[in-house]
Amino acid sequence: MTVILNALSAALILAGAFFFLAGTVGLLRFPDVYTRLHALTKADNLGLGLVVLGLLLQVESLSEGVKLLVIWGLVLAAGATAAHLVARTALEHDIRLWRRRE
Amino acid sequence: MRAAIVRAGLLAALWWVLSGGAWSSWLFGIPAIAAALYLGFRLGSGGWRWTFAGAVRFLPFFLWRSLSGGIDVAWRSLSPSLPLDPDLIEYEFRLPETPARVFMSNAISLLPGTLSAEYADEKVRVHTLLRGPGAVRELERLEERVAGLFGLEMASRGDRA
Repeated sequence: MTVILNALSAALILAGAFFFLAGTVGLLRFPDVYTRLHALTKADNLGLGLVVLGLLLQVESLSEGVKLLVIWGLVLAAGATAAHLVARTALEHDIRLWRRRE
Repeated sequence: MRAAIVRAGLLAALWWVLSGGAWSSWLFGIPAIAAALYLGFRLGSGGWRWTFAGAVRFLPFFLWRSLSGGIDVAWRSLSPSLPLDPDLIEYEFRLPETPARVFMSNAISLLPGTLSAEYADEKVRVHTLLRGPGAVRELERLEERVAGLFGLEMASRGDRA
């Protein structure tokens, strides 16, 4: 039973790491600040969610599990707020968005 | 008074989570809870009433859309042709109250292909990864769920072209 649980936990954490990697690739490849923010907020949200889910399978106490969920919620709120502030500042400074065809 | 007791209970539960339940930690925990209670009421945050039924419907929706949002952007990052066609759109709120609108603005950034870029009272400017009607549909669905979460009625969109 623990073997299955550990394997599942490892698989979830690896899947989470994959999304962090994909988000970073997006950060490097996407053409402007707005599209890069998409890559960071959404891929990290999902990546961290999967890592938290994987770690939940290994917690030893209830408070540890709740703490992980609280961390995820706080990162979501902070990530979304930070992305919004960066995008708003970029708009205020008239940074044009990249378009497919002009 | 009831609100204060409920809030103190939640803060105590949070402290218990953070401290891992060590008894000696309450020496710091109780003053911290008192300070948080005082600040909470001092700064005033009245409008955050939500309904349980709304939360039960919102949570799976949000988790599912987060999942597809992450997969969508990961696929676009890794795809050699970089399939992006960004646009900036304006979305007029039908939600009546400010806290719910702020909540929705934040949630927008976690859904597939949308990012809230500027929030004004009546509307929000949204950067989208793909041009077209898909983003607006996504926002409308989110707004309905947020209205349900806070138990709010939405304004009708009758006079809009």
